[in-house]
Amino acid sequence: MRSFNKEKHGALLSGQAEDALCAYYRAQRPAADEASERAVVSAVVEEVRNMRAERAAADEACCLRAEMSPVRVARPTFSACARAVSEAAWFVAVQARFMGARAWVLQACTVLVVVLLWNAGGEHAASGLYACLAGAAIAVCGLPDMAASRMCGIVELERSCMHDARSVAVARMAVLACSNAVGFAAVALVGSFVDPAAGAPVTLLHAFAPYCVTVAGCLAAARRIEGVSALVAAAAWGVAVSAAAYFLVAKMPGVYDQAAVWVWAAAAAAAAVWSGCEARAWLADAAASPCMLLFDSSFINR
Amino acid sequence: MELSLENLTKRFAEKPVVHDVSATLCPGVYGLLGANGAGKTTLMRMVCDVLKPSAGRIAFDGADIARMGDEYRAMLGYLPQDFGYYPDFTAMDFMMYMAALKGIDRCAAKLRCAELLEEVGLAAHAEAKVRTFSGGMKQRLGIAQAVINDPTVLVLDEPTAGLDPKERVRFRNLISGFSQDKIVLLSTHIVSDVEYIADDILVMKAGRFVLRGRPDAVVSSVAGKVWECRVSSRQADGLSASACVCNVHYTSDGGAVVRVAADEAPVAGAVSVEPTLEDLYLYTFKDDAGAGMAGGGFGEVPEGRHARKNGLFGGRR
Repeated sequence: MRSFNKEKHGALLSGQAEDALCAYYRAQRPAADEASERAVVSAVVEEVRNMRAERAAADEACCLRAEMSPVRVARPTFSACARAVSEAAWFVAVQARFMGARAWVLQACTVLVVVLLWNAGGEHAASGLYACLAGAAIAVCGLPDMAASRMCGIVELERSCMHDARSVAVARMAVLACSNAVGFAAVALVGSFVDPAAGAPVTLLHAFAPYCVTVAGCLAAARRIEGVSALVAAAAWGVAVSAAAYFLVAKMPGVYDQAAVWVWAAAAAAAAVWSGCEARAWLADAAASPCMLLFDSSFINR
Repeated sequence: MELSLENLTKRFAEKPVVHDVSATLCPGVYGLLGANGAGKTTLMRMVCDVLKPSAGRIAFDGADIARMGDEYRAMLGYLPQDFGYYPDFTAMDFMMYMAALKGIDRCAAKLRCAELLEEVGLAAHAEAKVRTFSGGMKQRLGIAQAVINDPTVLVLDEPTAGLDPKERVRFRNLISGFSQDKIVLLSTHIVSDVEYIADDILVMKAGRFVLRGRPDAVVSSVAGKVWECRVSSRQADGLSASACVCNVHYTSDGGAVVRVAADEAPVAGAVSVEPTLEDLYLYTFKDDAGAGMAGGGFGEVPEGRHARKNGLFGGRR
């Protein structure tokens, strides 16, 4: 086109040549009658309608694919939810069966010791110190079971299964949460008998904050340290939390007074957030971290 | 049924361990050969969804396994190189635990576990603690747990490492028995294991496939490059230092019969002999520093069974 313009119009610039050509063809075009204009408009309307229908069909097909794909986009039905819940409950029960009674027995012994100390009286009997100690001890009792997959080097096998290592970790957390709840109930019961002034809620609050701090610290240690050292570090953290509780009662006895309940509530909330973050990181590591695949086989072959 | 590895890359701290690997696996036994650190275990872990790839994807019948998630893992069997177990578990406990993880109903699992323990010769030790087992027994338990769910994709990472020859032969036969109509990926650096049971061989070096094809076709690629010569003991020592020596047999008369893999005859009078897979392996890994065969050297040997069927390796995309 451009070469044609240049040949014919010589000095004309290409833009000017195009304009001239447009004007020429416009002049040559026959005047449009109403019928042909209506035909054009109806053709355009029809085309738009077709395009919309095609688009709707494509969207429908997309939704159908999403419905059929393993990663569902559509809202789950009630029966699907019920099936998922029953499957989850079954898996938690399986984990509870294979975990055995170790965590429960350890925790029962710990609670028993604390209760005996509490009943023996002493200057700290009325304070929340024993509740704090019980909280920290309960948290440490569950750690061997929580870290067992990694310690025993079974994470790799678990990850390759239908219910993967993350599901195993979640199920174990659920089992330990149940056992810890029983432990807390026992502590609250004893606390409300020994110190009726404080009552069960305050006793629970005194136990819950150190429990969360210990859980968070233990998970952090077990995530970062390999092998048996992780358990040692976690136990050391539990001892440190207990020592801090004792320090509080020795140096600041007022911290266990009724007036300080809001401080404990704030501390418990902060500790719960920390332990939640650590639990989330633990689950993420169980699902994908290469570090979780390292293990010391001498630990299981000892 | 097809498992495709598409430009698979895995980096640890920016160092690529598996680098841009592509292949298409159809039912059959695939032997994955390579030296320590070649990337075999990392590749297998990615195939088993144990590690996520840094780049690329794995597709099962066209669907990304990362998206399939538990649906893919439900048809997977995996025996890791060094697997653990809970110390208090008996063999039956271990099998039942793995069956539960694979979503198998308890009653069905009991029957299946008993049957498999019988098949791997551990029925008499079903109630014995796993920690009392020998290496061979643990490996047999490992293969039994890998096939509990009758997997479509079976991945075995160095299953014969540490086994005595009798155990290895027994193990090879077990794998052969389990591998009908399955995609079996078997990694080892014991060449004879794959020589007998693999339909196709993949050789990995520095995170890449450097050689692939049927065992006989792969081995034939070194035809005319394996030599045997009779030399003095001193010459044999010299050859060991300078050439890729596959075998030296010192004789009582002070001489030695040396088997060398080389492009040219290493000494005058050397005769060309029939190559084996071990010769090929040694030839391939004679110079670990060189990236060597990738793209050059041998490359793909296309006459494989699966190549005929479907085009064995997708290659770069």
